[in-house]
Amino acid sequence: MAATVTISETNGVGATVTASITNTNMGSTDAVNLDPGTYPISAGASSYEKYQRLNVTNLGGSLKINNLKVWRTGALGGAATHKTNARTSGYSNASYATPVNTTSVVATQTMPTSVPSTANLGIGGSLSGEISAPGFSDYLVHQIQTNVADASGATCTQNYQYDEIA
Amino acid sequence: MARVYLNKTQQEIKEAADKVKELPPLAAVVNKKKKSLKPKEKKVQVNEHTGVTYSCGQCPETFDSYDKYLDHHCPTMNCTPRDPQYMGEGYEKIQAAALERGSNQKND
Repeated sequence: MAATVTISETNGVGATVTASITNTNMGSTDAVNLDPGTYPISAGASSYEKYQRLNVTNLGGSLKINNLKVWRTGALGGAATHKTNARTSGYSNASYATPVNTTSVVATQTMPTSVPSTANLGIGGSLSGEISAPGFSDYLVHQIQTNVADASGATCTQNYQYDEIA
Repeated sequence: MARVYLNKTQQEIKEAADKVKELPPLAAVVNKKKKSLKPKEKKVQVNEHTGVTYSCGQCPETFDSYDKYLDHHCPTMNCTPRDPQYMGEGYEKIQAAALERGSNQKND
C-alpha cells in the first residue's frame, strides 16, 4: 500500500478547507472548483489567489512524503502571467490570508513551466521538510494576472508532484 | 519529681497548643493547593487548523475537525479519505510514480 494524497484548497474569511479539489480553475471569485464561464477574469484584471496544499490523509505504510514540486504545462492566453509563491531558493512559507483579486503580494514568482530540478514548495516552512503523519504541506499560492489586450483564456494543466519514501 | 515532670509536660502542651493556633485552617491549605494547580494545555498538531470547517470536496459533507473528515465515508468515492481510491482515477499510477521517485532519492 502507498500514501493517499489529495490537493486541498482554503477559501474565504473563515478559511474553509476543501480537502479534495476536483479542479483548479482560476476566476473572478474566491471559490473552490469554480466555473470560469460564470466567473471570467476581465482583460487586465487578476484572478483571485488560490491557496492550496497537499493533503496527506494516509501514509499507507510509507515513512514520509517530501520533495514537493509544482509547475504548469500549457501556454496561457494572450500576455497573461501565472504567479506563485513556489520557489527553489529564498523560500518562506505563506500564511493563509483571505484571497484577493488585486496583484498578489504573496505570489510574486513566475510559475515554472517544466518540472523544477529541486523542491519549490515546502513542508513546515522548509523545502527539505517532510510529512510523516496525516496533515498538510505549506500553502501553494498562485494567481493569473492578465493583460488588457488579452482576448481569451486558455486551458492548462497544473502539476503537483511529491516523492514517497517507503 | 513527679510534680516537676507534670509542670514541664503542661508547659509543653501549652506550647504545642500555641503552635496549633498559629497554623492556618485546614480548608485554607486545601484551597491554596487547588489554586496552584495549572490547567493542562492541549497540544495542537503542526498544520492542524482549529476552528475552521473542513469540506470533503468530493461529497457535500462538512466537518468541524480534520479527524472527523478523515473518518467519514464519502458516498461519492465510496471510500474514506484514508483509502487510496479517494485520490481518484489513476491513483495507482500516481502512487507508483511517487514511490519510484522516493526509491531513487534513497539511492542517490
